[in-house]
This record gives sequence, C-alpha cells and structure tokens, in this order.
Amino acid sequence: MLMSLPVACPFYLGEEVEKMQTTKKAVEVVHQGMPTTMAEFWEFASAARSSAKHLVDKNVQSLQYASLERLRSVLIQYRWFTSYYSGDLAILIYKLPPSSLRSLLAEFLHEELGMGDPSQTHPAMYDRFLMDLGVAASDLETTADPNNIALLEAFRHKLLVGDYTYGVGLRGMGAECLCQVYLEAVHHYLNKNEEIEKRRKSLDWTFWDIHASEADQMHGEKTREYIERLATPENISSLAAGYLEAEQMFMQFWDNAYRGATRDVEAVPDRKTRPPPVPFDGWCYHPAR
Amino acid sequence: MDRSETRSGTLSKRLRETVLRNADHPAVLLDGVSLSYRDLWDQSGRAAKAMIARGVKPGERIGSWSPNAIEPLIVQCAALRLGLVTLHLDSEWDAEQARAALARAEVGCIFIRAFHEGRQYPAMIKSLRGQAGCPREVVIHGRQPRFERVLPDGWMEFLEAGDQLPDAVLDECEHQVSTSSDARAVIVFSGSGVALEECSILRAAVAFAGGTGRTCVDAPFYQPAGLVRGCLATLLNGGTLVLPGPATDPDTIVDRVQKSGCTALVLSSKAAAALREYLAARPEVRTELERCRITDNDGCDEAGTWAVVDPHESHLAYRLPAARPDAEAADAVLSPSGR
Repeated sequence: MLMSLPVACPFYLGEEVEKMQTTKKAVEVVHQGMPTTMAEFWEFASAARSSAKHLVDKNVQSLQYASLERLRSVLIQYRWFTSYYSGDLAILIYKLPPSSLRSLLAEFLHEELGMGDPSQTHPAMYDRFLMDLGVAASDLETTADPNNIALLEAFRHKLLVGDYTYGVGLRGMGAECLCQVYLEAVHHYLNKNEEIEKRRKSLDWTFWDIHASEADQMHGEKTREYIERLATPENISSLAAGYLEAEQMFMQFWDNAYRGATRDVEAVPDRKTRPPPVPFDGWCYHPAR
Repeated sequence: MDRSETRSGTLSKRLRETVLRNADHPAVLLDGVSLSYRDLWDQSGRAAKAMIARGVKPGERIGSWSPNAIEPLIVQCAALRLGLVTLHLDSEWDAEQARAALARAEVGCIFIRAFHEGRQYPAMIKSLRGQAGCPREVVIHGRQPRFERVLPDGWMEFLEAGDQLPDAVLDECEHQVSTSSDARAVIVFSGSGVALEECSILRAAVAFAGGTGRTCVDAPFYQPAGLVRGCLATLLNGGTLVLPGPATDPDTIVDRVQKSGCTALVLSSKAAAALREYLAARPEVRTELERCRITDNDGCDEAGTWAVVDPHESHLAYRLPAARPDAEAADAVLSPSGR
C-alpha cells in the first residue's frame, strides 16, 4: 500500500514532491512482486538492506578523503534526521496496538530522549560530535537543507496517515535496521579520514559508540523478532511498502546532504570559548520536532 | 637479584605477598573508584578461573586489545597467576595490524574493549572471522552497563562462568605454574616486539623506587613503560596506581598529579614531551612537581634501558640499567610455530 503525499503540508515540498512521485512509480512496479509471507519479507528487506549498503559504500567512501569543511557540511544534515526520528517514533508508538513491538519502541524512544537526561538525547550527542568537529553552534539550526526538511516532513505525514504496519516499515524498522547499516559505513570511512584522526581524542564519540556498535545491531535483531509477532499475511505487503519507501527516502536524504556539501563553512570557534552543548532548556527547537 | 627470584611463578608469589601485606590498601584508583589489593586479588582470581573454564592452560597465549582500563589490568594479573603469555596490542591499531600480530602469536583468547575514541574493537575482530589470526574466544569489556547483560561475550558473563569452578582448580593451576619450568608468565608488547619474562619484570619493579607511593600511569599498557614500569612495578611494591582518563594535555596531567598526591608519573613519549615543554615555560609548576618522579617511554626499547625524566634535569642523567630482553626468546614467544 502506498500512501498519498500530503495534501496540505505546511512546508513547501517542491522538488521533493516531484522526486517522490517518480519514486512512487518505481515503488508501484516493485509492489507487483511484494512479499506475501514473512520469509519472503525478510528476503526482500535483506536485499534492500544489502543494496543500500552497496550504494552507501559508493557514496560514503568519499568521506575517507573529505576535507574538514566538507565533513562538517555533510554530517550536519544528519542532525535533522536524528531530531525528527524521536518525534516519528512517538507517533508510531501512538499508532501501534499493545504489543511487544510497541513496548520495545517505547524503550528505544526512552533511550533516544536521553532516559530523563536532556543532555544525553541522541540528537544532543550528535550535536556534541559536530561541535567538536568544529561546527559553530549558530550553524546547527541554520544550515538544514530545505529539501531534507521537506523530506522529513513528508516522512512524518506518511506516518500519520498510513496504517501502523506501513509505519513500522517506514520508521520502526526502516530506521533501526537501515540507519544502522548506513551509519556503520559512515563510521568506517570517518575512521579512515586524516582530519578525524588528528582530532580523534578531542571528539565526543558517544553517538557513534551507540549507533555504529553491536548495541544497535541488537536493536535491529530485537525489532525483527517483535515485528514477526505482529505481522499477519494481510499486512506484510504494507510493511514491505513502508520499508522500501524508507530506504528510498533515506538514500535521497543522504544524496541531498552530499549534493549540498560543497559550500564553504565559516571558521571554527575556539573549543574553550564555544557556547554550551545543545540541547539545553530554552534550545530553539524546530516547531516540527 | 637473587637467582631464585627468576623461577617461574615468582611474580605470582610476589604479588600474593604484596596482597597479604597490603590487603586493605588501595591498589588502583580509577574514576573515583578505589580497588584494594584484596579486591584486585579476588577479581584476578575470578578472571583466572574464568580463563580455566574457557579452556586456557598454563603457558598458553592470550591477547589484550584495549586502552588503559581496570579490566586489562585484572586480565594481566590473572595471566601472571596462570603463567600465561599475554600479548598486548596497540589500541590505535586497525584490524589488519591486529590480525597480523594475533596470527603470528597464535592467540586463542582475546580481551577487547567495546569502544574507545571512535574505534569499535568488536567490529574489527568480527571482520577477521575466517582469517588466520582470528582468536577462537573473545571477551568484551567496557560496554555501556545497559548492554552488558543483553549482548553476548560480555565481561560479567565471562567472570560468572569462572565462579562455577571451585577455588581448588585455581590453586592447583597456580601450584603447577610455580613448579613447572614451561609455564612462565611472559608479557609481549607487539608494537615494539619486546617480550619480558618474569625476571625482567621483577628487575624493572625492583629498580623503580617510586613504586611504594602513588603512581599516576598515563602511558598506555601496550607499551612497556605503562604496564611494567607503571602498573606492575607499583603493584609489586605495594604502591597505589592512579589511572587517569584519556586526556593527556599538560594542564590536566599537572592537575591530576596535584590532586591525587602522586609521587611518580609514567607518561607516554608524546605526553612527556608536551609536559616538558609546558614545565619549561612555568617554573612555578616545576617547583610544585619537584617531588614527583616522571618517567616516560623513551629508552624503554629492545636494549631494555629506562629513561627517567625529571623536571629539573636531563632525563639522560637518570638512564638506568634494566632487564635486557633476549631478542631470540622474544621471537620464539611471538612466533611459536617458527613462522
């Protein structure tokens, strides 16, 4: 099942709408061969996942040789993905029926939001990494690619209007399984970058310690186990549609990040004089988050 | 040195004696946590039993790939008690460098950190699966507490497996080590190719006069200065080991020395060079550090000499004779099959 695009989305989608309409056609073609059993679904998901990994390797390997400026401008985009993710996860939890999966996702959301400590939210961890990399605090909120914001808004709208199995494919496992593969690849190439090597000891790696580690792999495995319990033959195709769309949108998000990363970035503030890490009370949250 | 002190099991015996003399004295201070000599002995006993439960036998080779932390120290103490050869890998190595060293030394069991400064050691070991050099047993320490119980091959799971064995099994093993000439504890530093046997380690410990006070060890364990001169010398002399966090800038080091009341400081070459420069520009701080003996890794090479850096004098003046590791013996330990 494919959800239609938002009719009255408060944000201008522009170019992204056109891209997604093209994507929609592609998805419909794939739908003809949509899985009907969970075994087929996992095969389908695993194919999508390894395909994503292959594509990721091609895109991400440039990070190995990227200048510091380019690293900053590529990586800063992902903060918006992490920022939207917790809100989307909350919507998905709201839509899910009482189940092991819902409890598990609530646990993930608790972790995402810092388990009661706002300085330990995953977006805050990622921001600390960016700031240690030299991203100015003022750039954090102002350098979002509008196409990516539109994409994230579209994600959210689809989640709101779609059924829960579609939502599980889109944000429940799309994020937990797909992002982990991608972030592992990003982390792999970041570790080979000379600029990163020079700054290794001064970077806050907490975000990567969670998202490119065995802990996140375990998240993926648990998610899969609980999805199996919730899935029925009737809703497998919806699950697959969500997953397929998540993969395509995710790759589009990163394509946008790479495309927009050629601009110059302002000078890096001194580490000792920089403002405190975000988020803190009073942080300028985007209303959508 | 008395010839009898070069027998196998001597290190273990000396450590045991130090524990008996200083049972409640702090052995290690790390992140505000204090481990007494009794705690260290108990923990290393648990680790030794856990190694036995995993099939590790006296004389065998184990590996450690980790930044400085409490677990690699416990593993090292357990290895001394069991007469094992311990290969310490450079924590900054990539997977391929580690694979080459592990393959050469034929390590069966390796202890690794979950992550450090962006490096994911489990993922790197996983990438070696199916290749020569990949250890058959992996134990992961330093995970985030909430993942410790739910992920496999964890440190707690490892220790608990040892708890199932009676103490008599460990006693028997330790007795075997003290009476056999084959099960000598050896420490191998794969980065420099230095292998130190019990005799060399004891000599280093005896030569280190600052060992009875508090020693702050910033030098990494994969270098002889960090593990032997810093940790083992301090522990064998009944001193207290202060393990700082990862920061190595001179400001932090000086602050730590002042706050912890350290009488000795063992630094990596890089940190020592930075500190030297820092002290040259700040005579008032030099005076404050007057009573602290500063040692770095310079001179701790295959020739077995040790350099002691004092803020007031050239470190060359403090060059001490120490154990001279046998290059052939080191090669035999590193490559048991002669490859």
